[in-house]
Amino acid sequence: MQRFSAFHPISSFLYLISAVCITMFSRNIVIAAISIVAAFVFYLSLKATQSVWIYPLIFLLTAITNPIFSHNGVTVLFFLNGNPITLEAFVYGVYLGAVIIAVLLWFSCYNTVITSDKFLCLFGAVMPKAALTISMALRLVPQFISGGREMLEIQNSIIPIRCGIIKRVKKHIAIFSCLITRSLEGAVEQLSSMKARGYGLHKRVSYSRFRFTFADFLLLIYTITGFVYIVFFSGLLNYNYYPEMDKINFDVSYILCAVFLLMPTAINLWGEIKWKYSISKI
Amino acid sequence: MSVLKKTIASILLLIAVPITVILSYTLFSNNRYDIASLIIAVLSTLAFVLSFEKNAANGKLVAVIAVMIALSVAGRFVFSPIPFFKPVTSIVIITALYFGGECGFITGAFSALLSNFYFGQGPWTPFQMMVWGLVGLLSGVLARYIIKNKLTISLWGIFSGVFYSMVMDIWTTLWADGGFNVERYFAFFATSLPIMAVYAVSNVVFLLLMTKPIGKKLQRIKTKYGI
Repeated sequence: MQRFSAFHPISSFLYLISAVCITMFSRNIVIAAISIVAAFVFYLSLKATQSVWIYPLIFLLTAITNPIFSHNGVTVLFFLNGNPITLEAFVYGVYLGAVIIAVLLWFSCYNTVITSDKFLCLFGAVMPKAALTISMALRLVPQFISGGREMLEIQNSIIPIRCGIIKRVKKHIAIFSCLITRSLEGAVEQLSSMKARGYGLHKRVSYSRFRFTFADFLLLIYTITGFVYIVFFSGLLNYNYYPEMDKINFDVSYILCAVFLLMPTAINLWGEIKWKYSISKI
Repeated sequence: MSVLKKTIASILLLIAVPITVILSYTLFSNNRYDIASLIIAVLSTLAFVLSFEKNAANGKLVAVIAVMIALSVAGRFVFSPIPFFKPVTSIVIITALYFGGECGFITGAFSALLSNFYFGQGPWTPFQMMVWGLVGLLSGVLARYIIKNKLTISLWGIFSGVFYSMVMDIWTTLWADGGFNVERYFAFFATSLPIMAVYAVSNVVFLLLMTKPIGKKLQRIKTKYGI
């Protein structure tokens, strides 16, 4: 039972975007670490399928390469080809890698929570024509893929599967050309008939299966207050690595930030517990 | 939306970019070029989408654009047996050549958005939308010169492949570095060179083989339905 995915798109979208923004805006390595942990436990609670095995590699690459590109900082560790490798540049590289990983993890969660129908629900109200274009295209893509596969089977019986690259390119281009012919006219006809039935005459109301409830309202308020506090009032985000690293003074604002970022996991866990409890009562 | 509302929206959008630059300069003590450029990418894409929203009085155009977007996304699957052969850029260019720069921008931007529904959204989405949109816009504006002969089409295919790769490398640098580090940019540029070359070649092949046939079909639809 993933409670967070059941929230109204406006609330969940804004929450995820502000989590990403806080991570990206902050220059603070502690916030980056908190964000990674929060995003990762949220990722686990979502049972997301996007693979993350490459992320440690990206982290290592960014952390290791930064001192090579940046020679700012005062604490020289050693010299490489006559260039100073500094502690500050190394820590900054670790911070950069951490932020990149955190943002990638948050987006893995985003891709699981905000599906294309939620995205269309969000922007369909504001931009009906753009939403219509995207939803038409979204419907056509699977149609094209299955149509293309069908045509490929036919083409394979004409041109052998194992052939030179030029023949293969030609084969696929023939398929592509067929797809265009098949769909272009159909799509225009579809819109013409929509027009004949009065599409665009009046202001369009669009159906959405999401209802804005009190819980959504609460999440929205929580997101906005948390975001404004962390970005503008907590002073967590400003931090300097060069020429010398600032000292980190731990105070309550770090805890508040952690609470803010861990909220969706808590919501999901709460949903899970409630679900298990309800099942056990049957 | 009333006319007044629309005017206010366009004025707000117009002054939003300089405001972003000023705010990012004053709000963040360190120069956060990555955040500023991300916001500007979002705003500039938004400007085109809003104008599409306003101007696409002809609903049939929506259908054609939807088909072209779906083609460019499905092309990544259809052509999957051939490595690195992704027709997105070529489809965007062809659409722009026959339907103008604005349609090109929308096709490019939405292709990026849509293909990321399949391959994963990320902080790169706004930049990707803007760059593919720009490729479409430029091809629409320069359509007369591009479509002249096979040589100009091939040159444009190479240029757009290089352009896309170079601008995306700017974003990668900004993101991986926080600021714009020239050395790092050249490092990214060097590592992406082979892929860039393959993209440029595949663009040329695709454009040479497809511009005429697809163009013919688009022209026919244009005449038949009066788009």
